[in-house]
Amino acid sequence: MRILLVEDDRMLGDGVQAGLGAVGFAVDWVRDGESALAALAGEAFSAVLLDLGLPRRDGLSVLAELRSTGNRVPVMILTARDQVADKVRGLDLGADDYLVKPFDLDELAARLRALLRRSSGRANACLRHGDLVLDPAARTVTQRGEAVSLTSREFDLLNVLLDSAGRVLTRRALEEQLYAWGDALESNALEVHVHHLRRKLGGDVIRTVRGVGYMVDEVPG
Amino acid sequence: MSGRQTYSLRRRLVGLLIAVVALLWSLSAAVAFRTAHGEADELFDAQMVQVAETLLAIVAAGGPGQVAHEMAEHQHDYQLPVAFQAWQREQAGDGWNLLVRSAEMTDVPATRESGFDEHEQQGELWRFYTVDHDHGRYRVIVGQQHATRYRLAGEIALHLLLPILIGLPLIAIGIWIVVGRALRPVDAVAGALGGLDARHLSPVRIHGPLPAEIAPLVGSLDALVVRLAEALDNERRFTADAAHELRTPLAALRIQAQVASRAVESGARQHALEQVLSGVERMTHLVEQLLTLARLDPDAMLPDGVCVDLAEIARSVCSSLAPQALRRDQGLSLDAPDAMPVLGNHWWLEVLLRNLVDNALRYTPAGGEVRVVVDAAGRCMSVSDSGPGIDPVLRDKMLTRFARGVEADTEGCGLGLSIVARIAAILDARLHFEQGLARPEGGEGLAVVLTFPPAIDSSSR
Repeated sequence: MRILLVEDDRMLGDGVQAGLGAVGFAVDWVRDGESALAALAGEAFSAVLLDLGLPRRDGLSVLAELRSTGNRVPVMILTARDQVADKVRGLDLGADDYLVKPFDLDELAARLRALLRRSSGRANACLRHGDLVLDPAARTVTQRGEAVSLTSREFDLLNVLLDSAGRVLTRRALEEQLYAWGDALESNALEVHVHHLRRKLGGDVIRTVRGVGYMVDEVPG
Repeated sequence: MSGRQTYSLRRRLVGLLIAVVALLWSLSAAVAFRTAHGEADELFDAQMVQVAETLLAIVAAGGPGQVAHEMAEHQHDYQLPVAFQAWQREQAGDGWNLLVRSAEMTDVPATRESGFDEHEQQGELWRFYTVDHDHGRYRVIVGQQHATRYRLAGEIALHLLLPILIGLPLIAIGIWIVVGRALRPVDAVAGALGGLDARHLSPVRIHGPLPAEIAPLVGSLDALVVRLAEALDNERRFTADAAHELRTPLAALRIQAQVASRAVESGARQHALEQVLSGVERMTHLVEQLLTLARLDPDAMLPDGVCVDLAEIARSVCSSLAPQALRRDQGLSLDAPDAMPVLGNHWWLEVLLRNLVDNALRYTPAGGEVRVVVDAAGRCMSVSDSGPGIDPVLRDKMLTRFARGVEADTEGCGLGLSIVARIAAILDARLHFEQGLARPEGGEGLAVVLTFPPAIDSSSR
């Protein structure tokens, strides 16, 4: 899941990027409001973590601008402002969640997962595909009740595919969701990961749509 | 209003005005009573003389029978409040024979004096008038009780006082209403003040024109409200800024510590731990600056008239910050005379200078230059750098707490310049910004210039 982090504090941004990266999010980090809008105009993100006190353009104004252009990406505000009025203003401007600094890394990750879950219209925390169950919080996958051992990238790929079950995802869309800027992007890495997943889960889970990309069928659990 | 004794202006005004009106009215009634009494005296005296003359004429002409008849007739017409005796001198000797008398009189002559006389008779004060006729053959004494006169004068005075007794309550009601109307603006001001919201202070709003006596009060209140609102606003902004400045590094510390404790790779853990350390350093600096700002209490100022040597302080600050400059390959130079006495406190001037030089070093890129100049002749000191400078439009804003330049890459917390401004204000020094040193990539850095007031050292006198 690709996340845009907008935070002007160098140390906090660095920490959030590393911490969320360790639990499977691909985090792109910009440090001012203008760069945030530029990044959001160019690419698709699953969610935005937005600080309010930003140089060059205030977080609330970034949010207002974003919503006025019709962008519906889930936004979580990360801020030191804890007054109720600030929260109300942020949420009314179109934010989906509000976390006051200092926050816990686990809580941030959990709220982010909840946000993504809600935005894809699911209530259940786990993703199911027949007898295949993926738990994004615990980062575990079970098939027919037995644990399947996956690498971090394989897990993230399966997560993205299951999250958009029933839709074809292009290679480009998949790569955007899986890799943050600056991540080493090996050529045909995607094919390798798909190949490994098929070997571990069976060939019928991920379907190849020739010339377009990959998809997972919608199979209720 | 708890504990304080209050009184009603309205009640007090009504009370005072009624008292004054009642007093004036009573005085005029007293004067009227005296005047009426005097007039009544004259009138009654004239009446007594007339009655006496008439009686005498009747007695001389027709004798006592005629008198009794006449008097009885007249007493029916109008009640004569007059008593009388008519006497005839005895043919031989000095004795007098009583011819006729009215019922109130005795058979003894009421008075021996001729003309007017007053004395008590049967416990009452009487006024008598005695007149003789025909070389003393006939004498008529006419008498009247003083009480009759008092009663009349009293009646006149009562007629004067009666309107007061009825009028006073009416006047009181009138004054009550008028004073109430006059005091309405005061109520309006009180109401407007009571309606003020501490969170949204705004000038007192009163509809309609204000009386000249109350307008200054409202004006002062408005000025106070504006000042209060500014102060509150400032404090609110400070709290919000402080929250941001304190929570962000705390959030960073927490996240970095969590990342470090979970990192599998030793490189990632090392990086996170270094971030934690530098976060602690940053928090330390921030807390130090906040404490410094809190200690800058003008009331805690040292005794006046003590001079310290700014040149010496500049030398000590520059030498202590030189290692920091060397580490970043920055040039730090000082141009100072042997001595420059400045009125003030050593610690404050050191804090001021250290903040200025530290700020300059923080905002100047590696390889840049910072120059400190102490000018004894111009009584000023400047710290110039080859950093990014500050847009002239934004310069004033930089003096507020937690304000930072656009590039927040430095470790500064935004308190340095506000500390400098505070100390400058306490020392009565003028603080302004100028263009700093030329930058290699073009443009100029920032120069902070402080001009000190002339030093008059009382300790050297």
